[in-house]
Amino acid sequence: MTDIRQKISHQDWLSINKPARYMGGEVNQVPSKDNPKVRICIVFPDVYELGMSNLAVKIFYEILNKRPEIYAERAFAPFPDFSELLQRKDLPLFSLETGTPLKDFDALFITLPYEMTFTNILHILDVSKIPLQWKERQTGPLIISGGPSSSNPLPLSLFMDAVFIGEGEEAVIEMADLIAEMKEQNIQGSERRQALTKIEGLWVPEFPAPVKHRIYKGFVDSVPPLNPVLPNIQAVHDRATIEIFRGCTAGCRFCNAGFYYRPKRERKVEDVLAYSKALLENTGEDTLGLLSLSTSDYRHLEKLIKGLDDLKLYPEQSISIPSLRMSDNTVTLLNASKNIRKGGLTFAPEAGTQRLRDIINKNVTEEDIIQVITSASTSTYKKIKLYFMMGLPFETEEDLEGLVDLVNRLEETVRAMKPRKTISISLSGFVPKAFTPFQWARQATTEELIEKRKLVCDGLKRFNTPISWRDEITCLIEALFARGDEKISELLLVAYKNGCFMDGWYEFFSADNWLKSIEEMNINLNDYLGEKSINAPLPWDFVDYGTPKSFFLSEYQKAAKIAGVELQ
Amino acid sequence: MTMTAPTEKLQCRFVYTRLGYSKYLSHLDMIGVITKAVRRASLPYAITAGITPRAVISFGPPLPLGHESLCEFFILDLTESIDPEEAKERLSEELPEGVIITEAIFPYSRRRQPNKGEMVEYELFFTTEKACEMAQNFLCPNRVFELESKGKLKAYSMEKALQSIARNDRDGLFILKVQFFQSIPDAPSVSKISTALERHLQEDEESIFLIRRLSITSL
Repeated sequence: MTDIRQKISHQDWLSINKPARYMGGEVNQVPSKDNPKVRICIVFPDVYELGMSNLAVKIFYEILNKRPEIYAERAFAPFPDFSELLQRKDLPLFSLETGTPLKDFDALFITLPYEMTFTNILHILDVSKIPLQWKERQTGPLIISGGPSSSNPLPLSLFMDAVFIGEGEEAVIEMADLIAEMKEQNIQGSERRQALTKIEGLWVPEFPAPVKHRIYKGFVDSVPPLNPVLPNIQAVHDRATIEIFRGCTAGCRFCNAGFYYRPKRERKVEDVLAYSKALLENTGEDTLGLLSLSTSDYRHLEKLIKGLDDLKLYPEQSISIPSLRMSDNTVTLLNASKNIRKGGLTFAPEAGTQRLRDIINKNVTEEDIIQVITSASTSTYKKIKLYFMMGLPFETEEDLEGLVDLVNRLEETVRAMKPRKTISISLSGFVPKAFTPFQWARQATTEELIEKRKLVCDGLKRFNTPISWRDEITCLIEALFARGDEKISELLLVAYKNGCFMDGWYEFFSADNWLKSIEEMNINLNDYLGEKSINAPLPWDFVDYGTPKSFFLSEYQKAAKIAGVELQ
Repeated sequence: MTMTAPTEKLQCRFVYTRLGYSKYLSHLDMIGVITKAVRRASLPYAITAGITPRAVISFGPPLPLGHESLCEFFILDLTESIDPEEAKERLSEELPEGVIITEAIFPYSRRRQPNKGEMVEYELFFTTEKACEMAQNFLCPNRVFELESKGKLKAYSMEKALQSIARNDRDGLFILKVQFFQSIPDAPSVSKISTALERHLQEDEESIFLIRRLSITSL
C-alpha cells in the first residue's frame, strides 16, 4: 500500500506549519494489522490539535480497533498550507497510521462536532480526490457522518452516503461488519447504500425514509477509551478525559445537545475511579478532565473528587471540571480539594434577567449568580468568565440592559474583593436549532445582533470589562445549517466552490464569500431564519428524535406564555 | 517514598535520539512528550514547589525543527535511586517512533557553571556530489550571509560559529561533518546557518535531505 508521506520531501515538510500534525507515530497508535477485512478511516473535519481532543474520535478508534478484523485509522482536516502543498504535488490526503490515501479506505466515518466544519468535509473529500456528491460515487469509500450538528441531516444530503443520528458506539461496529460483508461480495453503488438503511439510526439520502435517533443503552456499563493515542503536539485540551455521565436533565430550551444525549446516564463512582487510574497510567497526563454536559449534576461528585484525591497517581496530578452550575456549593466543592485545577471559573448564565432566564429555562437565579461570585472571594480562582447569548426568543431591550446591569454589579462585587478577581464576558448570537423547543423561533438578523452587541459593549465600558463575541455572520451560517434543507446542501457546495473553507477559524472565515454564495443561490434568508409556524411541518420531521415534537411545542408555548406572547 | 524535592539532589541524565518523523516535533512538544513518558514509566521524579507543581526536568539546547539527532539529553531530578538500565528500558517503551533512550547515567552530578556556549557536531547528507561541494564552499569562516530578522535583513558572519568541516562520505552518500560553536557572542545558531545553506542550494532545493546532530559539548 502506498505511503503518501514518502512522496513528500524534507524541504516540503519544513515549508508547512507543524508538520507533526500529519505524521502519526504517536504513543498508543494502533499498529498496522495484517489483512483486515475492512479498513475504516475516522475523519475529524478540523485540525489535529482539535481532533485529538475530541472524545468521539477516541471512542470510535478504540471500539473499532478492538476487533482484529477491523483496522481503523485517523485523518484530520489539512491546514490551508498543507492543502496547498498536497495540491501542488498532486497528492491525496492520507491517514496518519499508514499514510494510506483516504480514497483507498472502505469507509470514512466523519465525526461532526459543529456546523462550521461542513465546508472542511468537502475540502477533505476534494483533496482526497473523492467525488464530492454521493451521486458521483459508485465505488470507493462509503462516506458516513454523524454527530450532534447533523441532527438535521438535510444540509449534508448531497454529499453523504449516509448520516448517522444518535450515539454511535454500537452502530460503528454494525456498519463496519456490513461494509466488510459487502466488500467481500463486491457490492457497489446504490445497492451498497440501500443496504445501509438496515442499520438503525442511519439516514441514507438516496433512499430517504423516517429514521430513529439511536441511544446507546449500554453506556453505564461500557468501558470508556482507556488507551487514547497521545498527541505528539499539544492538543487544545491537554489532559486525559473521562466521561462521567451522558445526557442532561437541565432542559434548557435552546440546547440541542441536552436533547441529543437524553436520557441522563451516570457511570458508577467505583467504575470512574478504576477507569481514571487506568487512563492516567496509560497516558501519563497530569490532569484528568471530568466530562459531561453539566458536571455539577453528577450525583456523587463529592465522593468522586475525594476518591480521585486518594488515588493521586502522580504527585502533580490535578482535576479539571468544566461545565459547572452556578450555585454557592459549587465553589465550596471546588475548594474542598486542593487538587482541582484553579485556572478560572466559567459559567453560563446565558441571559441577564430572571424573566429571560425563565423563558429559556435556564434554572439559575440572580441570587445563585451573586452567591457563586461572592463565594469565589475566598478561593484561589482569579478569573471568572461568563457566557451570555443575545437575540434569544422574546428578548427585549430591557433584557440586554439587565445583562449590563448584572455584569456591572458583579464587577462592583469582585473589585471589592481582596485579592481582586477579574470578570470577562463572552457574547454569542442565539442560533435556533432543530430538535429543541426553540426550533420554531426566529433568529435575529446580523444587523440586529450587531446593535445588541454594541448596546452591551457600551454599557460595560464603565468597568472596562473584557468582552469577546462571536462574529454575527457566523451565527447566521450556523443557523442555516441547523434548520436547513436540501437547498442549503446546494449552498454548501456553492460556498465551497467560492472558496469557503476552515469557517471555524476567524482568519479564514470569509463572510463575503458566504454572502455571495447566498445571493448566487437566490436564498431568501427569512425562509430559514424567520419564525416558523407551529402548525406547518418542519423539514426535519422525518427524524424520530426520541423526544416527541409535542414536547418541544409545549416547552415553546411555556416560554411564550412567560413572555406573554401567543404563538401562531 | 517522598514526592517532594529532596535537599540533596538525585539526578539521572538521559541521552536520546530524534530520528525519522520525530525530527518534525518542536522542542516544546518534546518536553510534553518526555514529561508524560516519565510519568508512564513510573520513575520516581521530583516536583517543583508552588501552586502548580511540575516535574523537575532540564533539557539540553533545542534541536531545530527538521534536524535529526543522536545526542539529545535531559536531566531528571529524582526522589530516590534508580537502576539506570531499567529506567532506560522503561522510558524507551513509552516514547514515540524515532525517540530512543540510548544512555542513562545515574547518579549524575550536573556541574553548575556559567553558560559559555557549546560545540555541536553535525552530519549533513546530500543527494549529489555537486551539492555537497557547494555546501562545503559555502561553509567557510569568511562567509557572511543575510537573513530576515524582525522584518529587516540582518548580516551574520560564520567566522565565530564554524570550528571545522570535512567530507565524510560513506555508503554511497555525500556527507559533510561539521563542528559549530553556538550560544556564544556573535555566532549565528546552527538553525540560521542551515536555513542560509538551504537557500544557497535553492537551485536544487532537495539536494540536502538530512541534517543530523551527533554530539553536544559544553564549552
